[in-house]
Amino acid sequence: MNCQDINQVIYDYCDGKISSDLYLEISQHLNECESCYNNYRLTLIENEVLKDTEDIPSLSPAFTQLVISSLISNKCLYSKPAPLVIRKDKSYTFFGAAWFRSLAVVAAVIALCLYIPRWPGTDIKNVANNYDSAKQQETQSSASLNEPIRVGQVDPEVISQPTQQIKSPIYNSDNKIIREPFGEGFASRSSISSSPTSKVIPPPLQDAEVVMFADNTKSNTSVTVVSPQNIPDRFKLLKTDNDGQNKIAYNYTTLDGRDNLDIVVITAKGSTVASDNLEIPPQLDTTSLVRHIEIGNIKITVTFSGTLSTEDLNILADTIQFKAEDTK
Amino acid sequence: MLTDEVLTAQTLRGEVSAFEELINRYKNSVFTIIYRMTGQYQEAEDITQEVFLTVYQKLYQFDSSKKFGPWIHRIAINTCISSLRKKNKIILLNYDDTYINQHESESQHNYGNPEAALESNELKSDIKSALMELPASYQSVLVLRYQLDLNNQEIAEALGVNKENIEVKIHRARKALRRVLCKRWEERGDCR
Repeated sequence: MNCQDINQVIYDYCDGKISSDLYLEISQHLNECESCYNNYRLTLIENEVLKDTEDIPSLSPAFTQLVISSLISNKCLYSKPAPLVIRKDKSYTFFGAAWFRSLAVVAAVIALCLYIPRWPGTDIKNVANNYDSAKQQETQSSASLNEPIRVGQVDPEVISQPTQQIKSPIYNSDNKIIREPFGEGFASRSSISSSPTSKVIPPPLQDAEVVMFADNTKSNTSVTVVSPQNIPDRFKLLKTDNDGQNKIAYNYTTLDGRDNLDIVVITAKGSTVASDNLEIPPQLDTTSLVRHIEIGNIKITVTFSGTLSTEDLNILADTIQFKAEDTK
Repeated sequence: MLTDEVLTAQTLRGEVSAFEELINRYKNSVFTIIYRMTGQYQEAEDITQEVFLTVYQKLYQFDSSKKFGPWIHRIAINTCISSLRKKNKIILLNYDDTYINQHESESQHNYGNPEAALESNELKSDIKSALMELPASYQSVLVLRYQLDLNNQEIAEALGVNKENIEVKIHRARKALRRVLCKRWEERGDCR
């Protein structure tokens, strides 16, 4: 065994990981070779230094808490599982959740509403009968509206409903009409705001439309009443569309259904009517006519349109009158 | 006394005290590895703290069927290498003959009398300095073997290599250490 062979196995020799025969052979060489012996001694010192941990400083005593604090500040701690008793709580279960119960109730109500018309014994005929009976009740209740109504006795809800149909005039405390049924007109537009006919006994009942506008410039209780008058008998009112602000549209049709007449009233009090409200898009096969009318301090812009001829429309515009009154 | 695996399970259940116990058990070994590889106390402490934060965050990945020690030591070595790499303070070499072949001519060095050098503690200082100059792969295998006194199986798990190769790696690391020492002595004109 030469020095190079010793150099290859010197680490195992120092660590005692070598056979006894080889160990004796290496030991004999180390006794004879000074260089290999120095190599052996250096290896032993290396081992001693490599195993030495005395020079390693110790960590600060607060190191553990420092790490834990870092974990807490970073909010990355594993969360503890909820106690078993909480898991058994119904509020933690899907079907026991409060939101689910609410959802189930709403769904049940909707389903019930959809299912009731199909309920056995509740066919369409019965529904129609119910409708007829309801209509009879409405007629009875409307009969009470035919009686003269005085302010102070008027149900506030009746006034607040813009499209409420009232078939009798409404009087204030001075016996002045604040609402008048259809047919009670004015001889001229100048007499609209102070009609002497307002003190007379209510006329025979006719179809009438009373329109109320809430005056935004006044208190919430102020209501502007505008209604078309002197509608020819060949027209009947189909529907009224009130936007709840200053615009209301009346849709009339002739009794034979051939022609229709649309009257759009835009009310402006104390100022001119906004131009954008006046832009009413023309429709095919219709003619239109715009009139600006002043009733006291109320300015209204009325658009007449329909399938009538221009001549008929002009005649109607001259015939139909409007009444407007404020009330509180 | 609870095992490491039980403590990891408790930690995953949100018990911070269990992780505190794990820190107390392994903070010294982890710090030793990192301190030997960095040579600076403050830097080693910072990296050690980073190691435990990483361990905590990746604890759910730990295979409880294996030992916790090698797993945390592997994280410590990898974290240290990664940190040193960011600071360009590391020599990365694989377990090949590259480093050894560069210094093959020094294998027949005349080492002189080491006893005299040992008396002045100069040799100890030289060995420790030479250890710091080794590639990280050599440093780690020597630290695990001699500083932590781990067996081949534990070293293999910590380094992620085969157990059969551990002795070879240690031998190469010792050779590399010796060559660094010889180079130092030659540069100083110190003939041993």
